[in-house]
Amino acid sequence: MYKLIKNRFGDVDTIQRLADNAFIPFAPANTDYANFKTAILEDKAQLQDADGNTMTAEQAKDFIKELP
Amino acid sequence: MSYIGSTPITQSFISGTDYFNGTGAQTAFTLSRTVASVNDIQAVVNNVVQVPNDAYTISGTTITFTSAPSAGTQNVYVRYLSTTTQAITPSQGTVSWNTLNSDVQQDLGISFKNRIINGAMSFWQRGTSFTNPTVGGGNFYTADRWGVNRASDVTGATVSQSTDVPSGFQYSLKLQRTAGNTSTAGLFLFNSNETVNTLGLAGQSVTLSFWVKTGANYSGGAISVVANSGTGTDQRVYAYTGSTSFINTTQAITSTWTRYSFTGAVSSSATEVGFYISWTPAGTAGADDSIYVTGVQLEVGTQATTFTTAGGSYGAEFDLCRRYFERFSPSVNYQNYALGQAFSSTSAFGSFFFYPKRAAVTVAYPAASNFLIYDNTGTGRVATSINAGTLGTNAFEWSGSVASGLTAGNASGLTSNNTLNSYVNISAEL
Repeated sequence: MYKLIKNRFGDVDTIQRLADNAFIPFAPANTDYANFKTAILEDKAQLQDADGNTMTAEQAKDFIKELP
Repeated sequence: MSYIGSTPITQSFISGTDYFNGTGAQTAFTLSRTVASVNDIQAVVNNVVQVPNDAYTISGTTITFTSAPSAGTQNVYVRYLSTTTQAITPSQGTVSWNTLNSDVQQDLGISFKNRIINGAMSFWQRGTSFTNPTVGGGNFYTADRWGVNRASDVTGATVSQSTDVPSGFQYSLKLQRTAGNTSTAGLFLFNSNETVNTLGLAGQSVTLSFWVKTGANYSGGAISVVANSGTGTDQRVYAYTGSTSFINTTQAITSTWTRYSFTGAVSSSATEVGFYISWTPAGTAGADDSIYVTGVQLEVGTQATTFTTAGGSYGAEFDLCRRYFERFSPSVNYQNYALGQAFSSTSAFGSFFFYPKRAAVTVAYPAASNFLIYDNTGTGRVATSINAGTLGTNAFEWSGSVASGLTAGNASGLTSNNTLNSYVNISAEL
């Protein structure tokens, strides 16, 4: 399970991997970020929005498509 | 003649004289030693010292007089004068690596000869024992740069730091099937080279070498040794794009530390290189169903040379490890990690700087209650949440919340609580 995290300016710029409380950047060279995208696209993980609401698989995939 | 090495401190010279019988016709005589120059001998005929070059010349073991010495018994003699009585010049390409002694080999070691970072298993920032590491989870890496899993990520594997080592090493990595485990799923030890560290290997013959031994209750057969190249960027070896094996073999191993080496040719299109060692257990695991590995080296060339660390020194090797992972662990309770500023009565933020990484980092903390947030009065308040954002390659922004008590605009700081388990993991691993 992953969760989107807002910075103090209110912008979403980080993903939290809830299993181990890890904060992951939107950075293609980061392996955890690549694994996050793969997991969402292959329906192997769910994604919560910044308020903690779980997105549907389609919503999560649409969100992923907008990321670098 | 130029030579490699120090100027000799002691020399040995054995004096000697060759005697000949003149015939009145013979001009060439064969010496008992090879001589490099006319100046290295003194030739005497009928007790008259002869002038070098004018009266005689030298070629190897032959002295040739310009005039034949008169007949007589031992009336011609040659005395050896110089320590340099022989000049040996190895032919081009005839001095092999094995001809050099190990000290010279060490001296000739080139920088980053060994492409394997932490090949000596010296650094274990994440801990010294691990249970059930998996590819899919956040616990793939064990010793720095060394990933482990079992086939299909089944459970029943442990990895630990061991002091059972061959001569010259401090630690080995012990890859063990958990005692009592009955799964025969293979156990894998992975090492994946970053693309920038693979440059120069494409199209080359390379040699992989390591020391390995079995545990007392090893149930497997020969280990598998597989080295692959890929055409992607910074991938793990088991997931390479365009994966091609340049080493794919098995090796029988014993309970005695032994160094093995394997050579293969890397594809000319390779942009990443990695390898794995694996073994398949059988039956039910005993108390020490394991293998031990250390001294891993991957180098250009067709034979394993003297082991050296990639960094060349302990500190430099640690820096190489920290390019991928760094753990801040308090050495004492209430250790200060980073400074910042409160921006409300319940929250604060600040900058956290670290050793530069290869990519923007992932940051992980344990429970927030393991940390305190201080204000300028020196009062520490237990954190109720800790976040990390603006994650870069050498800094990130920490932010945290407390129940109450901070003053917006005042200085603040992030510290460990009264526990040493208040680490900050910063990772840019492959």
